[in-house]
Amino acid sequence: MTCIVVLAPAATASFAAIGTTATVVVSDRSAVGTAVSMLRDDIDALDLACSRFRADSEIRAVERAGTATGVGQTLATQIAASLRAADLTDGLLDPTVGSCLEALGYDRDFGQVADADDAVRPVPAPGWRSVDWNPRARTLRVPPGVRMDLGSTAKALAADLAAARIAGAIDGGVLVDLGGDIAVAGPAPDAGWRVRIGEAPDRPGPIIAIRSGGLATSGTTRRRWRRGGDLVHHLVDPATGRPGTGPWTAATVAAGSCLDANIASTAALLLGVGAPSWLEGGRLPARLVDTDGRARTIGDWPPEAVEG
Amino acid sequence: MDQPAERRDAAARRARLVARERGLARASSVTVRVAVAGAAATVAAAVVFAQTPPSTQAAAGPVVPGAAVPASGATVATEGDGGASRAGPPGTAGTDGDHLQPPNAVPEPTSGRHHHATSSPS
Repeated sequence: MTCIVVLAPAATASFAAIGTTATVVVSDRSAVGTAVSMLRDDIDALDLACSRFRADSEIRAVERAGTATGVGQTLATQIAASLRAADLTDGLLDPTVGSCLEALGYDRDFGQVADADDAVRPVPAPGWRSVDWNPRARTLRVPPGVRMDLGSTAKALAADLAAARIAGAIDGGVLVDLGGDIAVAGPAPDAGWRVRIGEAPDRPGPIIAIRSGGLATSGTTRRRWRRGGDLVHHLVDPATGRPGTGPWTAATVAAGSCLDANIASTAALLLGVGAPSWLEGGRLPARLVDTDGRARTIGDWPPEAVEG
Repeated sequence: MDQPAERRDAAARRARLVARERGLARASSVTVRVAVAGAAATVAAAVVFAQTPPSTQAAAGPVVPGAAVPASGATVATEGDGGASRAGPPGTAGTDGDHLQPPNAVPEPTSGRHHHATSSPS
């Protein structure tokens, strides 16, 4: 189903895709059809290449092969990004957490994940260094038993790529939002792209404006379910296979790309008390919310305006 | 939509996907730079990502003359910048992707209720 809502002066279109909502906003209203078509194509390609829930996806085929397998450009780009994320975060983000998530019960589209009475039996991630990626030959080998999950990077990178591609094809600027991972490209509106920070369903956050790059929020208040007596969520510590614990329930980061914003926001939650200094060291403006609902801003994050 | 129309639509989308993947594959001998830091650089990235170059040699120069190539964190290298097969090598994703890239322009405060999108936990 496609729902189109026009907001002056930009045009917005949203549709359901890959278990979430995809939204594209263009400053040139006449370009919205083109933008939607291009975004749909990119999402289709992403899903076919990277989904761990589709038996016919390319990543699942590579897992089954167990040997070095040539991959298409979409998967190659995503694999490279996921390994870079693992490298930059010292393994906090790890594309081999698929088996961890399956052990927690997240083994199908999230909408179909159900609470269960059996207790969690966590499985640590095999580790991203076990994956053999050859960028020159564009081949990937995933050791037997390793399940890949590109969820920490795939949507964010796809948002970046789609925004860049759409901006190259239309007049004006574009914002692409894939389930809250936001990338912008091309000329920004005079007042910037206005983005509300939606840290929790019952607590809408402030609105800020960005003009380039990307913005991402990671949090533990959504995509969570019950196993045994425990409330679990999808942000897994690869070292333990358990959902991450720490002082933050949400982290929003602005960066030069949506991919980097999402890497940083996810890593910040898993870093815990070390997150503020890590973000400051990276000159990444951020907003962290703790378990009591108190917000802490980092670096050049703007002061929060009063809504009018 | 009637069934023939649905079939035509599905066939058209499959054809676009095939053409898109083919175009990307032909561009795989170059470094794919995803521009997220300005209009000119965005055009450059879109050229690489969206267009099928006439030959792999022609694809070696995808950047619009004079356009600044951003040091974007989304920069991804494919063929031509790697070495032998390595497991999880540092810098896998590109020559200038060895750190998370801060925004070119810091986020700005704003007021009012109108917003284009919501950044929610994903």
